[in-house]
Amino acid sequence: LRTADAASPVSPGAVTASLIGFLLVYAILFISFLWFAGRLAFRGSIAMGAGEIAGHPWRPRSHSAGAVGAATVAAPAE
Amino acid sequence: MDIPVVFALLAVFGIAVYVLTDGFDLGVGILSFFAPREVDRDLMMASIEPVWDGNETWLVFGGTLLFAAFPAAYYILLPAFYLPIMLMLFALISRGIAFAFRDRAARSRRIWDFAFAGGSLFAAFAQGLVLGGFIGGVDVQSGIFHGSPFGFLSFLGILCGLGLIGGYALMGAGWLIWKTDGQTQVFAREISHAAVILTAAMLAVVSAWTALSEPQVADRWFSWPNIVWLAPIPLISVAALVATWRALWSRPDWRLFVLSILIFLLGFFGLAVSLWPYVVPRHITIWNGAADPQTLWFVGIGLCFILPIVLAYQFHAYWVFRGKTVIVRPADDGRRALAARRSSSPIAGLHLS
Repeated sequence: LRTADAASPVSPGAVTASLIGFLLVYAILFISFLWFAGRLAFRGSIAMGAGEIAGHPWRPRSHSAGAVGAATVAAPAE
Repeated sequence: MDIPVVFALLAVFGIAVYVLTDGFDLGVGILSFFAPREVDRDLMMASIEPVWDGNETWLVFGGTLLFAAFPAAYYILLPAFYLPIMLMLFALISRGIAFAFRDRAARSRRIWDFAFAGGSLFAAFAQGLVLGGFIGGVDVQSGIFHGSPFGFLSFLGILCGLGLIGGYALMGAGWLIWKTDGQTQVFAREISHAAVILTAAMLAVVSAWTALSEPQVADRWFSWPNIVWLAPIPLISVAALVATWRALWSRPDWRLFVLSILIFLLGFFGLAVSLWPYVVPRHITIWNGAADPQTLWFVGIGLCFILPIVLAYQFHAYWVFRGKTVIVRPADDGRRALAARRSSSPIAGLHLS
């Protein structure tokens, strides 16, 4: 089975459009990441030193896009 | 009961759970367009933050199950709905980015607000376009999709898109009433009026359209003895909508959420009655579209392990964050922590009825 035989019946125009869309989205994502990461880096280690928030251990968020030095701490219900 | 039917029920289960769970968090996103204050948007996003990406697991589950168990449906439907599915993916990405970046943003916060709200809106609308195109039927020739990339566009799809926006907004309002209090809850109660009206109108129009446009479907609903057995579905739907309208300002706080889920389940059931037994309406049935028995057994054994695990960790996430959402703001810096509180707060004593 060749690649050409396995291709979906999706029009080339649609694929091109979605490819351009993905490139744009990831470009925006990357620029935003640089912006936030750069800003956090320039702000320095004020936030990093905190270590603990309200008695809960410091924990970075799991989906970590741009999660440099910031924390969302999940406090379980009592 | 034969194996393809079991897998069809599993697929329906996965899609239903997706629509119900991601539905309310997309709805919260749609409602955040109208939230009056930034603190409301903070609380709205915080209320769904522990669960929203877990909810989207079910989208992956539905797609994977379609791929594994009903490959014929997969290779016909995905090319047919390529553009709206791409629109949905971009919208979901935009939402996900908003969750990651909004907390860090200061001046650009409004941009991420729009990314969140717009992403939710377009994701819901794109799903409606797919649903409408699916009900209307896709162009299939000699077993593969044979239509134009814009073939999904239909008036019914646009109506379904509006209906899903309304329905998701209704579930989102129900969720917010349940999970928040104070002014955010009052906002959710106010906006829920519009959501109920939009949902009811689109539910009626789409149901009537589906039942009347295809003779086969009309025959299923209106032929004698069927009409007796099936009449309760629209009747209970109307009763549920009336109960919803009356529940908007009532306690307990979870009532609207439960009623909105009931409305969705009824709509889902009605859709299943109309489309049974097709995986690609009027072209491929469950039995024609299913994979071969070995594949189904393989997938089935895998599901026996995966499904309980997924259900357990999702339930755990909801359980840990049960109760009203509160945002803990330490005085030293602006970083927020998310917490849940079990009982409703004393300031929730608003006079509501």
